[in-house]
Amino acid sequence: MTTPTIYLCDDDEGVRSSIAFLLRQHDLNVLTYASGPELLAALDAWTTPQRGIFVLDVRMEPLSGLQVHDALISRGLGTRMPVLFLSGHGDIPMAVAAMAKGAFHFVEKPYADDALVQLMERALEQEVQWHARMARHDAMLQLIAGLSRQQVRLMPLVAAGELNKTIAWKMELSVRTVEEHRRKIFERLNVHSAAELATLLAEARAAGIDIQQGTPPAT
Amino acid sequence: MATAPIAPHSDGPQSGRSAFWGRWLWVAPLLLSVAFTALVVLWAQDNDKLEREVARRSMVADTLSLDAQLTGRMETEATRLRSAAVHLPPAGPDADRQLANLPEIAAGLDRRWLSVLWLDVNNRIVGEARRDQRPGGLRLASGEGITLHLVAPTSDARRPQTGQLIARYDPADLIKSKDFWWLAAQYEVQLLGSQDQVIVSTESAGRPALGESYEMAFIAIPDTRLRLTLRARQPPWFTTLPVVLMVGFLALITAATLLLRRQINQVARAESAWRTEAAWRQSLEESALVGLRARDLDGHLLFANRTFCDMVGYTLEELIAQGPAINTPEPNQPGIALQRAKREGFETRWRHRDGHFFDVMVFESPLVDGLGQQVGWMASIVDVTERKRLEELERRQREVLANHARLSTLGEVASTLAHELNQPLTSIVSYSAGIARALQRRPDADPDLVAAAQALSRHATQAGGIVHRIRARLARRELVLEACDINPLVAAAVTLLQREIRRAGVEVTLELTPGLPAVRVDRIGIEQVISNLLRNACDVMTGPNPGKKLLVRTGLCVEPPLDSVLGWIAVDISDQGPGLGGRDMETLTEPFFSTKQEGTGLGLAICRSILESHGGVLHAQDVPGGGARFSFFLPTERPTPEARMP
Repeated sequence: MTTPTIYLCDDDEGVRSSIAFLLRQHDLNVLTYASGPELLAALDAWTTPQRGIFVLDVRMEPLSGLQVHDALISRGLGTRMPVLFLSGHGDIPMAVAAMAKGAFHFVEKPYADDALVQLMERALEQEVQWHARMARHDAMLQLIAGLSRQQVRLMPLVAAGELNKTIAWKMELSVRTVEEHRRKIFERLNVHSAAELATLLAEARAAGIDIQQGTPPAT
Repeated sequence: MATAPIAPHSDGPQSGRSAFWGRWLWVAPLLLSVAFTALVVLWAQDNDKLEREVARRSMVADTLSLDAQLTGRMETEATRLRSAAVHLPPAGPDADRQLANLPEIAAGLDRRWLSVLWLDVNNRIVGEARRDQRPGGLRLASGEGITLHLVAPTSDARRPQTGQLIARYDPADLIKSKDFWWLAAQYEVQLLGSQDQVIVSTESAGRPALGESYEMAFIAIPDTRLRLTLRARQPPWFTTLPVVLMVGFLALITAATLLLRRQINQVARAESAWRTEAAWRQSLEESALVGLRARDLDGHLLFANRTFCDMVGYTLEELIAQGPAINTPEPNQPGIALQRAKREGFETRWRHRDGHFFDVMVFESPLVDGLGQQVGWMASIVDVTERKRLEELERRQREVLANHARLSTLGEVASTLAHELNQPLTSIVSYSAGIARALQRRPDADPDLVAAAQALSRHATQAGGIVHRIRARLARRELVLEACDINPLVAAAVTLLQREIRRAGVEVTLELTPGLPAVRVDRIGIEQVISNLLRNACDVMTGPNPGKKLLVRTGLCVEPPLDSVLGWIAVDISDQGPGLGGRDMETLTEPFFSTKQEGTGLGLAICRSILESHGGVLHAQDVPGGGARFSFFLPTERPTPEARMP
């Protein structure tokens, strides 16, 4: 398992090195980039998904931090990896806009040393949670992928607590077939009751997974 | 010099009736004259009749009187003859002589008798006495005219009837007698026979009398009639002097009336022309948005148009009635107006009836009457309150903007300073914190060193706090974001800078794409950006450069910046100046960098910071063919389906 990395992007060399130095003293993995395009180029070179958080300076050339953030969102990373902003200006509207797009935090320079580190650690925790959730989603998708199309269609009805007879009548199937499908669904998804199935489906729906299609959430 | 106030020409066209009378009044004298003449003619006719009647009566009376006198004479003659016959002596041998010697007979012959014949009882002629036998007696042509005779019986003492005396006489002699000269002067007197033949006439045959005549039977001579004819015919009534005079008078009056009519027509035409002109003048005066006022030399109001009345809130009547007190609403002395009454006018402040003051521009010129004499002053007055208000408003707006720019500059300085200091401070904080951390992790860490590193970090943080606070104090005010269209903002900025643009001799072309999506911006901030860019563009075109064209364009962005899902609005400002000269955006927006002598070098930096605070971008590039184009992009409120640029 790869340890989460802090991807730090700041065009000021001094700030970049100092923060990297500080974070390394806290045993955190840091990769630094001098500009937005450099960061984006590195991301596009990934072959496998990486774990970590992004720390972006707001004022950069040629791409501002906010624009880099937009690029990250468009790559589907906005929901997997928390994004922190560093701002020397701390314009409130800019912060509001960034937060509205899902940024994790907006830090004003200069900051108290421990505040930054604590923030980083919280962001990393968040990343772990997000990663776990993504992993569950992936697992769920895989499980659902193992079901037949008919079983997928039956699943919401089972989760809703419908009786086998009712389901059979609605789906125009025999009760025995329905019983067989129910058993297979419970087995595959590793659940033991209709209630557990309902919880699982609700979680999937909240994550934006289209159960019927078996596709991951649209980015 | 007193001049009568010019009354407003409120009297419109007269009513139909009076107009009718006015049109036909000129005939009245003629009609009256005709009536008068008719009366005179009637009177003349009547008078003529009366006169004729009177003449006729007097003629009758004269005839009767003549008749009576003639009869009387005849009676006298007859009586004389009878008296001669009574005392007639018996006939002697020379009866003729005897008869002629009789005194009565002789007197008779001398008087009127032509001859006297003495007949005896048996009607034999006894003797005859004739006038022509009398010595010195008048010769009378015998056989001339008709003679008449008188008969008287003779008698003597014994016999009552011895014969008779017959006296012959000429009636003409009787009638032509001088005794009736007064009649003969007036009338032709004729004695007519039974067959209407004229026996005797006082007039010769060639000259007949023309007037009226009257005849009556003349009893003294049987079978005769006496006729009197007026010698002169009375002229017919219409040839009398009064009638002739009246006709002449009528002709004169007619001519005079026709002349009068022509005169009236001319006057009416002139009046109509004058009325039209007056109406035009009034419409002109009333429609003019300029107040007009005429005053005499003493300052009394003569005239004011409606605009003027509205301006001061008084009616014309009130203005005229109240004298110079209101007429000169200038709070300063009225005499000044006369002294400096020049064509260029002067500005002053007047008070309206309701108490509020308003600014006016007064242009006065001499009011000259028909004789070319100055009788007062004519003034046109323009209310400039609104203009002044707008000027004031514009000035204040410019001030606000300038103020804002100054504040922004200061904020930008602080911001720049803060940013520049922030970076090293951040590094210091990070490094010291990192060092402190590294020291802490060593088992043999010197607590003093750790503390020192931590203190270093703390102080650096403190310094950062100070910088932050200063910046916060001087920073730009909070943005007031509101959704608005970019086009009016651009237009407003151009309008606001009109003065500078005109001064620089720059020609601005606006190409505003209609129907652009709204942007959510701080209005003043963006206006400041636009005016800043416009001002820069104007400044670079002040030189001897031939190009003076400034193109301002709005539209949707063709290439939205990097993967943006939002639509972008682009505003381009292209000048024909010397161009960027190879400088990139970074250099241009570097604080305190300026190509202008007196520039602060902050304008573009401020623009950029404002735009970036909106999430926007500022771009600059050279325009092919000379000049620079500054563009800025602002994200729209909502994503737009397609990005287009006209």
